[in-house]
Amino acid sequence: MSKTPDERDPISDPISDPIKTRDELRASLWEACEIEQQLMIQYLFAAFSLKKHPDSSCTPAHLEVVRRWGSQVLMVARQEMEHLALANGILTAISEDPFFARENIPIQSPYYLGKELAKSRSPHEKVTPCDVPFLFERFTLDTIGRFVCAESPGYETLIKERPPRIPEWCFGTKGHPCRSTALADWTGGGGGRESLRVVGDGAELRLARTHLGQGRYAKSAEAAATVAELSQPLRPGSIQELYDNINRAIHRIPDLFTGNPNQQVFVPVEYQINIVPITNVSSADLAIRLIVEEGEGIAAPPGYQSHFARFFDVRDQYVRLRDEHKGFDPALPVITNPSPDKISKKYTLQVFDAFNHAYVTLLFVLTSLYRNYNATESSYPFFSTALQNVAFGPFMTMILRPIAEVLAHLKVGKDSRETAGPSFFLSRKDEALLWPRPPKPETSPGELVAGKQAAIADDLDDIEFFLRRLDHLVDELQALSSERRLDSHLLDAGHKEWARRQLAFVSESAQAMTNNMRRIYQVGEIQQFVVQP
Amino acid sequence: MSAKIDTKTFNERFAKLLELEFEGWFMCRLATDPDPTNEELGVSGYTMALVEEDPLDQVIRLQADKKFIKKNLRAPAEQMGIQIGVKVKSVQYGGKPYDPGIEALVGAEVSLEGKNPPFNGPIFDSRNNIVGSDDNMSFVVNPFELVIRGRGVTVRAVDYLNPADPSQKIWQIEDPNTYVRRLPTAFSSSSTQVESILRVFDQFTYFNDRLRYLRERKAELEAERKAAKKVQDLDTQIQELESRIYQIEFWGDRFFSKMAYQLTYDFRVNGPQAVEDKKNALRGTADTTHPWPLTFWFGGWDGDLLVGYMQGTLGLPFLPD
Repeated sequence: MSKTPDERDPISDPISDPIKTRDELRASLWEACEIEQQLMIQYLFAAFSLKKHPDSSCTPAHLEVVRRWGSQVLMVARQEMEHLALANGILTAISEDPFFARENIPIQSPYYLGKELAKSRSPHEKVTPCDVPFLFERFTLDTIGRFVCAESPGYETLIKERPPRIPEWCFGTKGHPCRSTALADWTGGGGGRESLRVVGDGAELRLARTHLGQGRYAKSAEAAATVAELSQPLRPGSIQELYDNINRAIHRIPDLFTGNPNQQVFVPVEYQINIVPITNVSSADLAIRLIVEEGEGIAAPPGYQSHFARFFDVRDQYVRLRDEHKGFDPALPVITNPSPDKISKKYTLQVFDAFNHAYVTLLFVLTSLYRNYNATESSYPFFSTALQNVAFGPFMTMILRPIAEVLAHLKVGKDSRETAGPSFFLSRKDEALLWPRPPKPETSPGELVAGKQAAIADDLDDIEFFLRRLDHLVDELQALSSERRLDSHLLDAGHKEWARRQLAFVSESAQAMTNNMRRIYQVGEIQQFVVQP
Repeated sequence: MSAKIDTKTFNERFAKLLELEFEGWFMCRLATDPDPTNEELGVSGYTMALVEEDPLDQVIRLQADKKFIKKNLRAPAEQMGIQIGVKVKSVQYGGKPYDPGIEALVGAEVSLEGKNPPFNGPIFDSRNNIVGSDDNMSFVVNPFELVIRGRGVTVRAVDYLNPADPSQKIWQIEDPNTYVRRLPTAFSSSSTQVESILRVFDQFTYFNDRLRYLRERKAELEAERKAAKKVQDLDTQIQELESRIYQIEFWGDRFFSKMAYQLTYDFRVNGPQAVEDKKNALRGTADTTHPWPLTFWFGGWDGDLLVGYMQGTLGLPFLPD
């Protein structure tokens, strides 16, 4: 009996484009990091748009269901953070800089092109996987359907599963082809130069860049496009192939794990997040298996709740509720792919900017943490301890989520019935700071750009850089929470006090975080918060 | 109380304590990580405000009125014998029962009062590892204003996070050494004392029974719905039960493990203390000029019912008439 694509052995079964060099492995891990972050922020965007109060299109009974959907989507988003952390753990383990840079959304990842997905998801052409574009969309049936497709295993695996979960909308047939993608002529590469199709809100969907090249890799965000254009890249393939290739390379390329084990960022297992230290082939194997199993559920035990299964079930419930209750709408009227040109209200734009400032700050913190992490830090300056203290729990839960939830309640224009959402926007300048530092000494053609890069990247090694960014956030949020006419900016004026409380609370928490960061940098972990059993 | 204090012999005269022992169930509509600590609905944490209940407000309620309990205390708490209210259980002086104190204070309600804007009462303050630690169960109870209202006697014990500046908010205090005395002094994740008081020795079975109860109740309502003309309220109740089932199934150990938690606090109350006893029911004088020793614990947390158990002892330096 022939194996389905999901049943193959990633280590020993033949594949068409194996990673042969360390540079290719690094570039492949960059691809993985970029995709994991892009998936995560799409899930977060949808979750932040969910209603938190019943209304005419979402009864109290519905709201209970919607709450559970929020729990599921946020849980999957946390695991995408875990995947991002694990991919960065592998980079650190092979003595490479972390990768938290990425292109902005909307975008079409080549890994989620139907024709690439077809190679692993329906190789025998019974059906054709549809493209899965990366978009910021409020939580709708289409949105959750798209998430199902992003996490779906191959068609041949799906039809063998019991109970069967067949996401028909993710596949086209002769009778019901996928919606037009205009990607048919894509042949690989291109580095994002090709404009693709127009998405629902009229935005142009570009093809994402790829870091893969023949033994070369981009030394900066600016150089990434050039490298991609000049070189004949490895064919990206599907995300599953990408992880298979990484897994295989880890087994085949000798002397990879030269990183300092004390630089493995460790987070205790909690809330479905398992960030394991990666120090050798077997721990890297474990990390990759975890990523693939959690996403598509491949090789997982029966009944396993993969991201695919969770999203599929949520969509199933959505269909039932929609059929039973005409007009059911679980989400706030958040616009698709928010950007400053779609927001005419100055106040909303300020909150929008505050969110992006906070999100980029978190990416800076994470990048610096992975570069500078030291599990045995025992004397001044306690830089990595200070970064770790803010990086995970408080920044995500106490800063980003509340701002995003307020944003989803703020009107985009004076008389608009639509609201804003976070764009997680990375400017070229911000992305340049996140870009991995070049190896020393310089030997590659990207030297010039990389030299410039090294100078600005030093900011991320300076505690004051982070304190300045947090101080700015505190001031911004304090001013925003004091807005006298807050009710006029909200879709529902009745949420005025809630929104004010949220923004003030975030501002206070950010101030306390800033104080902690400064103090920990000077004297180390806050021992007072350790209670002896 | 009119006893005149002889300052020369003050320490000797007020060495012995009038010990007020209290215990009982408390409520706390607490948001939990990874929800923000001021979350009002509850989405990603294991606790939540059901849609027909009040929002999560984080307030530690040692007492709750009937209206609040009706709206927010979930079944089967009352069938299980859980009655919200921390009360004085015994009064001793010099280690022996003290009759005037027993008469005036046994059964008295013990409350935590004060406000901590934007919260409407005292909370377990941590802000997700910013001013305490959720991971280490290290929270201050903020603000701290313990009030015991007995028959003709009211005892009030206030403690300030920063006595040098009582108005300072916890998030404004840069050095946690300032309030370290208010953080828990001990933590047990498997307290036999808590297990014995709650008579729950197998936390897994306890929540398995809860799941069975919730599923049975849901099946009853679904059967009722088939014959009902108006289904909206029933639908809401059914979905509320489903959310409770979901949370216990989804989080599992976060529920089981916290049933035997015990978080102990031990500090000397530094703020203004007062004993109002116009008729001298206590038959003696309490020293209100020096800190009062206080020890208490919170534990036995049932994250589905949002209730827990509290026990403690407040010591008043005291001189009988």
